[in-house]
Parts: sequence; structure tokens; C-alpha cells
Amino acid sequence: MLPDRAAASPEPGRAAAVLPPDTGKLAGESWMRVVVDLNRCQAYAQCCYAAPERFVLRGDEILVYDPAPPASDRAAVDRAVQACPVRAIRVEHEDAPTERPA
Amino acid sequence: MRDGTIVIAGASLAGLRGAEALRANGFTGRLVVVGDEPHPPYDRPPLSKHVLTGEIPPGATTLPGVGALRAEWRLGTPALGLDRDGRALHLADGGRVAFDRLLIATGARARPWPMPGEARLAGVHTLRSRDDATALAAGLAARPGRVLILGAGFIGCEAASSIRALGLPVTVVDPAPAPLAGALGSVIGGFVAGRMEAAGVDVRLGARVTHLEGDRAVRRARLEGGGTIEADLVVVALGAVRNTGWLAGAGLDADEGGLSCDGACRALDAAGRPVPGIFAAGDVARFPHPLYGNRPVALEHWGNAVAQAAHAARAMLDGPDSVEPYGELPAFWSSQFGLNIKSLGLTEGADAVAIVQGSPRTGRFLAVYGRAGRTVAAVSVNAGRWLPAYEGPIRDGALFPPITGGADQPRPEPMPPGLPAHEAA
Ligand SMILES: Cc1cc2nc3c(=O)[nH]c(=O)nc-3n(C[C@H](O)[C@H](O)[C@H](O)COP(=O)(O)OP(=O)(O)OC[C@H]3O[C@@H](n4cnc5c(N)ncnc54)[C@H](O)[C@@H]3O)c2cc1C
Ligand code: SF4
Repeated sequence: MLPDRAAASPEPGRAAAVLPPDTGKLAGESWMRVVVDLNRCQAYAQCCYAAPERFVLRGDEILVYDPAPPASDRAAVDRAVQACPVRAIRVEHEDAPTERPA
Repeated sequence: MRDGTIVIAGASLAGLRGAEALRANGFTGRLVVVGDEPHPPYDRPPLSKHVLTGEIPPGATTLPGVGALRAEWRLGTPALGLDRDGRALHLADGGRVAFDRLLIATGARARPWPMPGEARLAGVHTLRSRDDATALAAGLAARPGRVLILGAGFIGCEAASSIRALGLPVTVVDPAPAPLAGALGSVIGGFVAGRMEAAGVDVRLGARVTHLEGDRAVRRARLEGGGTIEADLVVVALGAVRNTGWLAGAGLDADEGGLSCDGACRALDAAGRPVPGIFAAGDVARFPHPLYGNRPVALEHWGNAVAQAAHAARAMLDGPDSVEPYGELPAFWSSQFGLNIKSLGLTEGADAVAIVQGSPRTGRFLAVYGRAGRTVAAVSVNAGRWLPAYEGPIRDGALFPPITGGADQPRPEPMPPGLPAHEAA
């Protein structure tokens, strides 16, 4: 989604759509899951400085973010989570195993 | 009660956040999440925004929290019925899941085009699910000659914005005098209409489409009173209906407007009595709002799904008497045509609106809505940081308009908000 979307390694969408929820990995790749509470977000843009490839402000105050950044971006995304003054960003790092129906 | 079996019907935002809250509050029993969609819970707001523009692939919207949740997932498996006395769900795969407590979080679906034969024409879309967005994006990739959007509510307007951003010709038709009139009134809606037109959208207000025509694929729409619009892709954005059909026969107070519940999120039976052990949250729930005279409301807000699901989880674990009546201040956002629109409170029934900060001329302003002299809602347009100051006045029902007398601001002049007299379509 963000400017370098095409360059960002494998297509997170495709992988996520075909994998069951207990599988976060495909051929050694994994993605974080990010959601921003945009009621809470005040467009302070701290996340955009911390992880400019994954968070951008558009217009005056529309935050656009990558909901599935590659795991290799973990440090930057964690910085964004910490930097947000209203704690609006939530991230899950790797899909952990879940119970499966018998 | 922190053990036994809890079943959640509906595997989306409210279902996931409810399940997480149950675990976070110490529920150690068996947790089963039943969802009719094949996908694990994902986020819908991006679908009409950055998914349609192609910036976010549909599959990238899976919500955080899915991976860590300790639950049994029954995805791609609709619940077909509720056996209230036998305390079990009937599933489409023939299975039966017994529960001690149930959370109903089956949300809403797009209201279909009323003529089924026309709705089946190729090129006619609705937008509610990830699969809808995928299909619509594929239709847009074929570069239709014109896209026609039926309905200028939030989803119709956001779709119009995204599709214009792709450079495609777009017409929006709505019988109301302004876009977003049902939620924001025609004063603020009129401002948005100006932005839509500036972006090149053909905005037809006060107009109604009566028929969609074409053989196999849609070709044109017929307007009331004569006239047609040629279009080879149509987005039907006529609002939502609640997914309560599967509860038929269970004796609950449920219809297309929602499943009634009380302040502890307990589902109500047809006589209005709370049903032990059965709870509801999210878009499907119709609940008495304590800030608005306990008027029953059913919201379609992301924030409500999150907060109400957490509330229901506490009531499920600690008992309905241990929680305050659910009274989260309604809040939502929308982004379209470069505008970030945020809202607090409920505008429904407001009899006045006043621009209290900024001005539509500068493209940044905050409008407050009043009802019988009290402040009931506030809406910011590209001015989100001004909004939190109005939370207190809305909660308190402060005199309208509140917070006057800013040194550099003229006295606000209240005017009629241009909201529909009855509930918005
Ligand atoms: C395109 C779009 C854009 C939006 N943008 C915004 C926004 O900008 N801001 C905002 O505040 N809100 C927005 N919303 C609203 C927000 O997404 C909803 O309020 C939220 O999704 C409600 O969550 P929910 O879990 O209650 O219901 P839903 O998300 O509707 O989920 C209900 C789930 O239950 C499933 N289900 C239904 N019947 C059954 C059955 N019988 N058995 C099993 N499963 C069943 C459904 O298929 C669905 O997966 C938007 C919604 C859409 C569609
Ligand atoms: S840092 Fe937080 S408040 Fe600021 S833009 Fe990012 S999410 Fe929004």
C-alpha cells in the first residue's frame, strides 16, 4: 500500500487469504498484523516518523498504514507503537498456534 | 463463572474482541468461534478505502489477536439456528455445538438491491466483506466506462472517493438532498458534496434509481421520472441489515434492525425479558443507550463493536449485575475525498447544528449538534484534535452550543441540521 508496496517482499494479502488462522508462515516468511484505532488516533504522525514505510499521513490527517508489514520490519513497527502518544496502534507479531477442532 | 463452554457466533471484530476479553478476564474453559466466512477475523474499514484503491490487498486485513487467541475456530460454517432451551447452536455442516453461554456477534450485511433478478446482473456489487471487496476490485480493474453508486451514505461516498482515485468516471445517486444526510445532516453533507464534485464525481441528489437494466451484465440504470444513466459497474450501497435471520424461532426480540439486548448485553426474549446466558455485541446488538434516554440504538461503528464485546465478556464472566449499563459514547471516523470525518455522540433527532470552531471555507471545522437546547453530538472535519473537548459536554448533555466565546471565533449561529425527520435509511 505504501510507496514501496511493490518492492516489499512477498504479497502479504495472498498468503493471509489462503492460510488458516493458526499458520503465520509461508516458506519462512511471516507478517505482523497491525490495526490502528482511528477513533483514538489524533494524527500526531509519530508513527510516520518511526516507521515511514508503514505509516503515512495523507491530506491533513488521514492515517494510512500497512496492516500486514513483513516481520523484518519489526523494530520500526515496535518503535511506532511506542511512539504513539495516544496508544492507538496494536500489533501482533506472529500468529501463534491455536487449538484446532477435534 | 470462568469455565464451561462459551460459543461465539460471528467471527469478525466483535467476536474476536469478545473472545480476547473473555480470555483476558480469566476464562479458562472451552471457547468456540463460529463464523460463516472462510476467513479469520479481518478489519472492514479499509475495504472501502485502501483496498478498493489497490493500496492494501484484501487478505492483508486480518486483525491482530487472531494468532494468539486460544479458541476452536469453526470458519466457513454458518450457524443455522439456535436451540435456546437445549442451549446449542445448529451448524450448516450438520454439527451441533452445546454452550453454557453464547455471545451473538453476527453483525450486519449489505442491504441488497430490492429486485433480485436485477441484483444478479453481472457487474452489480455490494460492499461488506473481504470477498465483496475482492470482487469489486476485480471489476474495477477491467476499467468500466462508468461506475454508478447507489446510495451516498458512508460506504457509498468512501467507495466513490476510492474509485475516483483510480481515475474512473463515477456517478452517485441518492434521494436525499445531500450525501451523508442521514448521519450528518444536509449542512455538513452539503460541504462534502462540494468536495465530491470538485473531485469529479457526478453527484445526483434528490434522484432515485428504479431499475437496473442489461442482459446478463448491467448496462444502465433507469431513474424515477425518466432518464437513464449508462454504467457497466454498479455498487449498491443502501445501508445494512442485521444478521438475525438465523435466530428465527428462538423466541428472541430480533429483526432486521437488530437483536434487542439490555445494558448488560443480555439478549431479550419476545416479551422483553433477558435470556440467561445469551449475550449480544457489535453491529447486531440493539441496546438502550443511557446517554440518550435509553432509546434503543443499533450502531454500525467499529469502536462500538470493540467496546461492547468487552462489556459483554465481563457480564458473561462476572454476572450481569456486576457491570454498569453499557453506555460507551458512540464514535466513528470516515475518510473520503481528502477529508477525515470524526464523530462523537448521536446526531439522530438533532434540531440544530452550529459550526463552533474553524470554518467550511478553510476546510477544517467542528460542528456541534443540539436537541432541545442540549448538546448531543459533535463532528469534526479535518479537525480531529478539536473533537475530544466535546466529549464532556455531550456526555453531560451541556447547554447547546457548548464552549462558546473563543477569543478569535465569532459567536456560532445555530441552524437546522437538515437531518431526515425519521430514522435515516
Ligand atoms: C466497507 C466498510 C467500511 C467501514 N468503515 C468504517 C469506518 O471507517 N469507521 C467505523 O467506525 N466503522 C466502519 N465500518 C463498520 C465496522 O466495520 C463495523 O461496525 C464492524 O465490522 C462491526 O463488527 P461486528 O463484528 O459486530 O459485525 P461484522 O463485522 O458484520 O461481523 C459479523 C460476522 O458474523 C458473520 N455471520 C453472520 N451470520 C452468521 C451466522 N449465522 N453464522 C456464523 N457467522 C455469521 C458475518 O459473516 C461476519 O463475518 C465499516 C464497515 C464496512 C463494511
Ligand atoms: S502516532 Fe498515533 S496518533 Fe499519531 S498518527 Fe500514528 S497512530 Fe495516529
